[in-house]
Amino acid sequence: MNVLLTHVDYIAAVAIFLVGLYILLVKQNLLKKILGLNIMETAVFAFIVTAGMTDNGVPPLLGPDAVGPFASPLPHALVLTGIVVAVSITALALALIVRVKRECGSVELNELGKVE
Amino acid sequence: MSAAAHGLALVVLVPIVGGALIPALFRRFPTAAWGFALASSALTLAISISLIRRLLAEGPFSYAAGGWPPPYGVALHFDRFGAAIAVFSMITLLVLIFSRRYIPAVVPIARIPLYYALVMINLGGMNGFLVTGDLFNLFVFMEVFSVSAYALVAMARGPQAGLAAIKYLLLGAVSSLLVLFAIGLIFAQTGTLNMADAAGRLDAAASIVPTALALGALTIGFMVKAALFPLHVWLPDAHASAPAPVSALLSAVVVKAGVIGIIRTLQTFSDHGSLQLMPLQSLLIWLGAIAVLWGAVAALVQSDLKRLLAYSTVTNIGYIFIGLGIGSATAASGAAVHIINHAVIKAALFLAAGALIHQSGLRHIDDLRGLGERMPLSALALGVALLAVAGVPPTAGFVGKWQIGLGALETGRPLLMGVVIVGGLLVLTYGVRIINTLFFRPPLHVRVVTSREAPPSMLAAILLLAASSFLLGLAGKPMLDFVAPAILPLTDTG
Amino acid sequence: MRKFLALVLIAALGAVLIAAVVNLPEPGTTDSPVHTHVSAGYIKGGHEAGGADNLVTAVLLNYRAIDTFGEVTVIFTALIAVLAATSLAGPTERSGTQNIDLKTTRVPVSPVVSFVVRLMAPFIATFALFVMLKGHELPGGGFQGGVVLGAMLILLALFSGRTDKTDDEELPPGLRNWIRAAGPLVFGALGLTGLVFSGWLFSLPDHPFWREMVMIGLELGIGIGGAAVLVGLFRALREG
Repeated sequence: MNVLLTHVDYIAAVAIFLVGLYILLVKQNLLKKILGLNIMETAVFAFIVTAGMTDNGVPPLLGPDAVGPFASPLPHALVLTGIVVAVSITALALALIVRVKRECGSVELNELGKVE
Repeated sequence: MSAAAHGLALVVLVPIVGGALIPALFRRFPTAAWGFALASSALTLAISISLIRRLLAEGPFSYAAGGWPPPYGVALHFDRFGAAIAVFSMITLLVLIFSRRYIPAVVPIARIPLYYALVMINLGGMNGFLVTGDLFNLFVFMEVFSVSAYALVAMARGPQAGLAAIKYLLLGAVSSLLVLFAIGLIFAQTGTLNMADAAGRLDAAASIVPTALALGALTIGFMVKAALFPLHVWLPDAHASAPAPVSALLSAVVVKAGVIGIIRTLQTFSDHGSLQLMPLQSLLIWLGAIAVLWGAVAALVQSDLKRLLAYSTVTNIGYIFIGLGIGSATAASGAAVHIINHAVIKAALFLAAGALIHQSGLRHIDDLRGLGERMPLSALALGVALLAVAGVPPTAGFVGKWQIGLGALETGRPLLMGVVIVGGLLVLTYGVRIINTLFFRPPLHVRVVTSREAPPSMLAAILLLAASSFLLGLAGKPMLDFVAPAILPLTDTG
Repeated sequence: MRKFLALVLIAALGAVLIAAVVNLPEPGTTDSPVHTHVSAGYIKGGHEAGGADNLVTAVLLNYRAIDTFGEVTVIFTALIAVLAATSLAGPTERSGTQNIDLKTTRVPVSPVVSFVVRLMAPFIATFALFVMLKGHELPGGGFQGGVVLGAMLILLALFSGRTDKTDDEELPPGLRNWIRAAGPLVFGALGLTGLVFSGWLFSLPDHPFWREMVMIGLELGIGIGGAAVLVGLFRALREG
């Protein structure tokens, strides 16, 4: 039980991940699928940031009077990159959904299956 | 530090900067973007050849991007799998030559520079993916080529293309996310992102469970990118509805990234003392075997030529994974050679099919009857490539499949040899059917009679690729010898 | 049925994931490999090695510059992708939805909102520039500044009273295409200048002053290019 408490931050990230996955699997609306994907992405970012966290730590800003313990700078850089990638994917997905809506008349996957 | 090592960063930098320049440079002269893209891909090809020359002289080498020694900076690493960048650059070059006359016919003129920009960025992402020795860098370049691949599929007209692209994007994005999650797990355990460093430090990790999960997530993530059964569902739609040069690029090059990703994963984890890779490899063998049969049977019942070729990719990815899963020196080198040979053959197939479909305006196989008389060279190229993809000796498709089958026999798996042969026969069945339709049946459709042979730029690319898919079969032995040192780390696990 | 299967899958997957994450080193402790290995090297190297007080910026622009090059490429590619992938067909005519002409049926913008947005815009832009220019010392950086600047431009586009395509004319199209490509292009330039000055592609100059100047240049390229891409995405989606 103790281990669940000390690792609660990771478990929270896992919970968010599963919520996103459920939306992605169950919802037929393409827009909702993209929302589910975004929730999953957020969970992975939270997971990576948690890995670099330090208890009572300070941001890794080295000034003349900065004292540690510092949080690890590497995960922050990774997540910043990851966020930009996620934005790019989302933008392209939204553009494609607009196109599917225009050309096929629906954004519901189960309806789109009948159209074809 | 010889000049060749800088090439490791340049094979990424040149195509991507070239691609980024295209929309700005060629806004006013869209059709001129072709020459610029061709020049940058030729430069990339030249750099990758200089890298291979150094590889042959000195063996695998690394480059510290930014001068930071690993694990602090990003290390780029060049080995014999990375040498595939030369083949991929060559195929991109030929696809660009083919695009010269094809793309203006299917893409509005203002979007032509965007097409060339996406192809170049795709090449840069592929090259980065193949030469990086850093886990997160691998993810970044995977996204570079993935985003451009989704967009390239969507460049085709019509409702099918948009729908295929969004399906491809959804599955691709989830697979990328799994890879990122696995990278996070490895980083949380080792504190490093350098592949070699992480491989060494994973042994010291307190528990094996997160390592096993990371291995699983990486495998599933790359399986989607490689379109291995049962995660191939996005491939037939995407590859059938994309413009022909894009289909060639995706089927020949982009799916191979997933295969290389699995190879990198196996390499990273094969040093791990307590983690057994055997169950994973057995799984890859069986999924590969199902993929071979499933793809072949599904291709048999297709009436759409491009869709049939898309299912043929599913089959061939299955072959490669059987070889990798068996993991013996014979089978793994066969799989490695088949990565290259299938790339050449599939590019020939999709470009030749694209020329036939484009010139006649028909895409159903039965409508194409008698087209061999009107477009003899394109049809001949398609025929040669179909025989090659079926694995008829002495074509290029034979070498890899033969080695994989031999490897199955050597390791006491005669059933797999049966799968390899039955798969080849099924592919041969539809190959002969198409050849028969093209050459020996009277024309049915009026548009066949009025079709003319493809323009020289298209023909040049098609004929060169078709000739290679025949000649590479004769060069089977040197190719197997070339990959032999690279597959050693894989065979240790098997 | 679909929901039930999904729940079963998620329960199984959840058990596996939790079993894995509880076996990771405890988050927050400073003796885990995350803190003792590469990150410790970054903190120990400090300002002198990384060239920036903000270590996240040092990682992004210096230690792992090639990652950031890939990152700016991805977002530039997304814009190219959106421009290339939008529909060529007009809106489909479907029963039940009438075509709404945006120009004639726009809800008028409240003068208060419009005034406040215009009043705020220069301050937001100044803040964005500050975040970009000081990103190597304080929290912030090119991407963050670019997002602020892009949000300001999108806000202006929303409330400036123009919804037709003419607002593309704010910048000459030739110049606009160059600005959108600024991110990959400044990194490409960094790659090549690094080779000239310190012998490695993607390396920063050794001299502290020039190193700081190059970092500021990169931040500006990322920020302004990123903002241009975001505005481009917004417009492409709106018109798409």
